[in-house]
Amino acid sequence: MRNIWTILWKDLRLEWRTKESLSAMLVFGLLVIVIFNFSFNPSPAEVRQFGAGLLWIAYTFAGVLGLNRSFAAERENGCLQSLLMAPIDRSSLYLGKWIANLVFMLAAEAVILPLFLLMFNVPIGSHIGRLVLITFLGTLGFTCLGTLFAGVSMNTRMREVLLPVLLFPVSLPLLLWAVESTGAIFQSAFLDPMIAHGQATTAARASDGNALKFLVAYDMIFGAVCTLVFGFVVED
Amino acid sequence: MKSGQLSRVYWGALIVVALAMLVNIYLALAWVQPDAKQGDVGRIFFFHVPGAWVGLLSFLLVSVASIGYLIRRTQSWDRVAVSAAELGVVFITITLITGPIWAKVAWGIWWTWDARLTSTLVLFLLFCGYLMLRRYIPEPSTRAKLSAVVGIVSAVDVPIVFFAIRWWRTQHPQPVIAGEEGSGLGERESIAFFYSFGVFTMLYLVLLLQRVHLARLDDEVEVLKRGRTANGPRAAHAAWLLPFALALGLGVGATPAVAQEPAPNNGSPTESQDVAQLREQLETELRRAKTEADSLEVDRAQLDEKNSRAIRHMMIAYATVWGLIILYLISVSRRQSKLRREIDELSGGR
Repeated sequence: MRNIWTILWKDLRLEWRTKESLSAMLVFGLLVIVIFNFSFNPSPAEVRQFGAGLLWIAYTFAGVLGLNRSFAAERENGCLQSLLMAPIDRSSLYLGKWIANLVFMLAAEAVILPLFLLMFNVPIGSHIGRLVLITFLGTLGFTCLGTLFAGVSMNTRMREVLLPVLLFPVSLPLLLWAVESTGAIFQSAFLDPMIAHGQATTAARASDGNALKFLVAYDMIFGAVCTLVFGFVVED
Repeated sequence: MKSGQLSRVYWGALIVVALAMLVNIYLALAWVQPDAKQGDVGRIFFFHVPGAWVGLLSFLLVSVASIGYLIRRTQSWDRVAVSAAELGVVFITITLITGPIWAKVAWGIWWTWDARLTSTLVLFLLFCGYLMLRRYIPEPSTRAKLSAVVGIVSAVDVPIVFFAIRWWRTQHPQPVIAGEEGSGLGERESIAFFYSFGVFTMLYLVLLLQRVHLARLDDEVEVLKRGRTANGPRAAHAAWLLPFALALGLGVGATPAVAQEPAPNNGSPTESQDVAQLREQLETELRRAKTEADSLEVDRAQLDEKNSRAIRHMMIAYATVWGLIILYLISVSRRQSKLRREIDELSGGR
């Protein structure tokens, strides 16, 4: 446990000093939102329909940028060798890295999400708690796989290209569920005032099915699998 | 395994598969009656479904071989994994190409984001990622190790993908075997269907053998380049393409046997010249009969058009299947002869 904390603390401090990947993630995430606005100029009804997808595109594209940097510093300065020589478990290394990536991505999302809600006038109201929960669970699973695949693609010639090619197909179910439940939240957020004014019925609300449960299950399965196989990725 | 032995076993298997394939082509294209609902285009089924099955089989092999490699750490597991992945891409490509060709006739659209189509596409993308990863790692043992990790993670992921995507409304025909009521196959159809499953699996195994052999040559070159000792050059057997080319040729020759719809036989009613009476009722009757006949003719024309389009589509799908497999065989053989030349050069120059 202390080892995990040490790795995590090291990464956080490093990022705090340079702010390299976090700023890149933020700017990129905002760019996605701006481009969305320019290309569709969406009405509130369209935001209700497509907003969830857009939000997750912004999250994941920004996330890939951050994940790509996650092992870059270790590689460039030969730090990985020293990390591996340290008397810590491989899984601690993985978990530390995972939590660090999670923190970075959540930090970026903490800026992207409010700006998104603000700029597209989503009357989120009391649904914010559920939205944050879904965002957290989705990001948890995405960074879990992302950290593993960042470790894999670190060893290759085309690192930056390969990470999304590997990561996106595998995290597809996760994105599906996350988008579906985020969409359901947006639907209710937009419909609630209308229901209150008698312009719509509760039947118009979309249901997110069991997406929440599946997100939790997905995070648990891949948390276990990735922690187990990460040892193979960094061994010599 | 000695190269001579491989060659002999391989030749035997190849001849058997080529003959079996010829029978399969005959069964699928001529022996089986055209499907009651779909007509001739339904014959794609005998290549489409076995292609998908073999794609899934490859996936299974990749995951088993990945686990095998991480436990045993022998290069032979890795060779099986890469061979299965590459063949998986070939056969899933076949499924992904023949599917839309069929769908255009049966559903009127090329593609729909239906559960099975989407999952097959995702499977294809997973395979592509896997193969791309391999290309970018020069060092063999690192390559084997990392791709095994990706193989295992994908193996865990694929059932989840299939399950998650099932949520979308599925438009795909229900499974015909053990599917819903009334979706069964006729006697001839089921014989041809299971036969083509068997033949595709055999073809797959033969191709796998060949691809694993290629992977072994690859490793050999690697070893030679590092200046270690290696065996002599393998016996060349590039002529093994011949039976497949023959199969294609005969298959194309056999396609005219596809049943054609009988010629139109509902001649338009001859117009009565008995207009002298000028009875109103008769005229209305006549007009109605005329429009009916016209619409019938249009129907007939549409039906003919549809049927010929179906046959055209079926032929294109069929050509795609064999074109792809033969292209793949040519590519494997070219790579093999290149590696063999390299082995000759490297061991000769030593």
